[in-house]
Amino acid sequence: MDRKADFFPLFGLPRRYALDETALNESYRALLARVHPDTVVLGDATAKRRAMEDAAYANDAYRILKDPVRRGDYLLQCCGEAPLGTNETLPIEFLSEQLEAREVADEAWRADDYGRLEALQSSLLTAQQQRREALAVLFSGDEMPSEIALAEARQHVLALQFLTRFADDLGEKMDT
Amino acid sequence: MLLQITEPDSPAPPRERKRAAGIDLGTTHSLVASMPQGVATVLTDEKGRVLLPSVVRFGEHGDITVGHEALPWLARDAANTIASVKRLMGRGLTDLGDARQFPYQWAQTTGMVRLKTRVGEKNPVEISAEILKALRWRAEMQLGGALDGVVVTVPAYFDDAQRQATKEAARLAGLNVLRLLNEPTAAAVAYGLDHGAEGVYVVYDLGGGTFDVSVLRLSRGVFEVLATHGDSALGGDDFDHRVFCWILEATGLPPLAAEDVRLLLTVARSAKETLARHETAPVAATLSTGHKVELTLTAEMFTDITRHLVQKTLTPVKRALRDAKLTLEEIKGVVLVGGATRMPQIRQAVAEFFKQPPLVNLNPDEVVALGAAIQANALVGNRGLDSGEDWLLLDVTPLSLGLETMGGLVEKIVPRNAGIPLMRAQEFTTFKDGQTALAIHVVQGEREKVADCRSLARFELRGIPPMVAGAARIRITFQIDADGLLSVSAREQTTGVEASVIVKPSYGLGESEIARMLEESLAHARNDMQARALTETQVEADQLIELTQHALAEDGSLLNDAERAAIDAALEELAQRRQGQELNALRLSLAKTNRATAEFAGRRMDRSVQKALTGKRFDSVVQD
Repeated sequence: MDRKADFFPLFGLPRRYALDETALNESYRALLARVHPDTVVLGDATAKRRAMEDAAYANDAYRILKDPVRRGDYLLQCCGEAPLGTNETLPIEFLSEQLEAREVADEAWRADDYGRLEALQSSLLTAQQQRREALAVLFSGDEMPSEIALAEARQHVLALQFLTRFADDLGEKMDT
Repeated sequence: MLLQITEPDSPAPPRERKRAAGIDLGTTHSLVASMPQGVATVLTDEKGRVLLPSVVRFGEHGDITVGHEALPWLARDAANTIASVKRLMGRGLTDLGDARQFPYQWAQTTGMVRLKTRVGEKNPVEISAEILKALRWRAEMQLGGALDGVVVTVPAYFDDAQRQATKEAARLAGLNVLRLLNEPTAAAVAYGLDHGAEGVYVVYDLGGGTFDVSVLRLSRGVFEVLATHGDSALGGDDFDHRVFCWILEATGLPPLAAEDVRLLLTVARSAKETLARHETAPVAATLSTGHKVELTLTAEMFTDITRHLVQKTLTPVKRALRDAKLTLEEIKGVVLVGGATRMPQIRQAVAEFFKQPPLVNLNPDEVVALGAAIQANALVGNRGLDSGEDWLLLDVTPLSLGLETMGGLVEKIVPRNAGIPLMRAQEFTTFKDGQTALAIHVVQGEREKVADCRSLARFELRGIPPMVAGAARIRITFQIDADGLLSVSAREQTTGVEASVIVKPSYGLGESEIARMLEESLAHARNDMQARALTETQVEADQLIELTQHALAEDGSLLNDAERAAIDAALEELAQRRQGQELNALRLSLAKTNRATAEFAGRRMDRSVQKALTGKRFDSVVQD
């Protein structure tokens, strides 16, 4: 297995944001069937180490492509952009909107207002969906997106990361 | 000597089949399964029993009893008879909560707990190894030789320390561990292959002391774990404990002796088991003080006092579904595993939550061992021998892995439910000029603060070349293998110097403790070998008795009365010594019986030859 290859061709996929999840799942399973350590349990140390490294690499690639935020981050890096960091800036409107939503959530939580929490959850899902659609348009062709498009994409990935974290926190709270 | 004649057209046993077994090392009981004829089957002891109680007793004469024989000692010799040792694996004293709820005497130690017994201090790894040895003998007796490899199952939610401890116990029992397999995954394999299941399934596994829930996608021979969650300190034992507390409340008993605690826990368990089939259960016991307990527990009351425990299992279920990004409607079936899922209130809660009745067409006690046996059979290289398509297991790591950073916070390196095996590298640098060492603290868990996570290990990196602060680039690679076990390596990037990693597992065993265990196990090996020889000779005796009785029924007419009496006497003595523990006496008796039947065997042979010569069909003759 070529561990330096781009993640997309590793699974026989085009380098796009929009993802054929069924195709990804199937080629992931086919790839693991070839390289998983279970295939070399009785082999020598070298074979075992190679299987371990190949399978770990495939697992990492799969995890990144499957995840909408990490996939966006990875595509940005493929275009020569820096990986998502901690000192990123988002438009002030988006941030204040998020702050407000978090306050609404806390309030609904204190008031035990399950209906309001669910409404908030579904609006978060819609917002995530919109960001993903925008990213699918920006990374839809074989050509490298323009610098303006990349900057725009970065904003979408960051916002998506924000929204996903919020949705996860909310979900975790609602489970208990 | 009786001659054994094989049927001419029965196929020769395949030489290349290796002996592999799957072991379910459970909190309450353990068992072993294998695929001797290509079909997964549980292996029984000499009395035909499948489940081996996970109970070990250290006797007065240095003898060690395991299983059914140790059970009666639970109430009589509580400090030296250990049950539910799985709950102690990879655990420190502070993990146990109230250590006084156990009827043991604890040694003061900071690492993994140690119990004071009459034969000295014992750690959970050594105690578990005794259970594994008993299963190993059982398997080797039944399969007719040494095991080539085993798969041992662990709760999916076991952390690194608990997994390491389990693997260590298996090694101490002289087993070659091919793989540690998560219990719900093992159950899914056995269920999925047996029923040709396709789609998303949930395995709800409530054992004696652990709870796991796994969400798997089964698709054309691939078993892919999408998410797993659980509670490694929640199980059937807790339901017993609730009943125990109810008894104390109902009777207003004063503080009890260790023996009475055990007695009432046993009574509580049997009441729980009765309620799986009946509406009420009697709760009766006579304590060592002479005090009599006589109560009746109703199903309704039992449901009431255990409601919060049932609810407690649903939070991990919800989390697993969310991590797998699935809704209830996408779940094709829910498989119940573990003896505790026999409780009606569990079945009802699961049915209500998933809006469908759970699948119960399997034995919840055996399915994990069967799945492990299937995996062991494949890993050891027997796969090609058996029909059936190829299949593959893809599992995940249950808990996030992180590092301690400034202010006691956790920096996550590996998220929970990531596919294994996996590798993750992180770069570090030095803080001071000329710094040559670095201390790193690895934790496992989902919380933000180090104090709320489980400390796995502390690493010290030494041998970093002296440089100005911030110039060194130390790349630390964390690796989780297919057993779910963590290992760490480090390298200074600018100079290529490999920094040495000193691992101090927080709840593992120290170097000296491992050395002591190995020494002791060598000393015990002699006793073990004797016990093993005895079992082997007993099996040999059983075979000879059966063969001879069969031959006597067929060809008894070949003997005169005196000859017949001699064989009968030899057989009787052999059968009697077969029940005893004297190896040499049994061996003598075995040899005597062999001698007494030698003439008889010769005559049977002659008769077969004569029959053949008088024109009977050959195959009907040799079949005798």
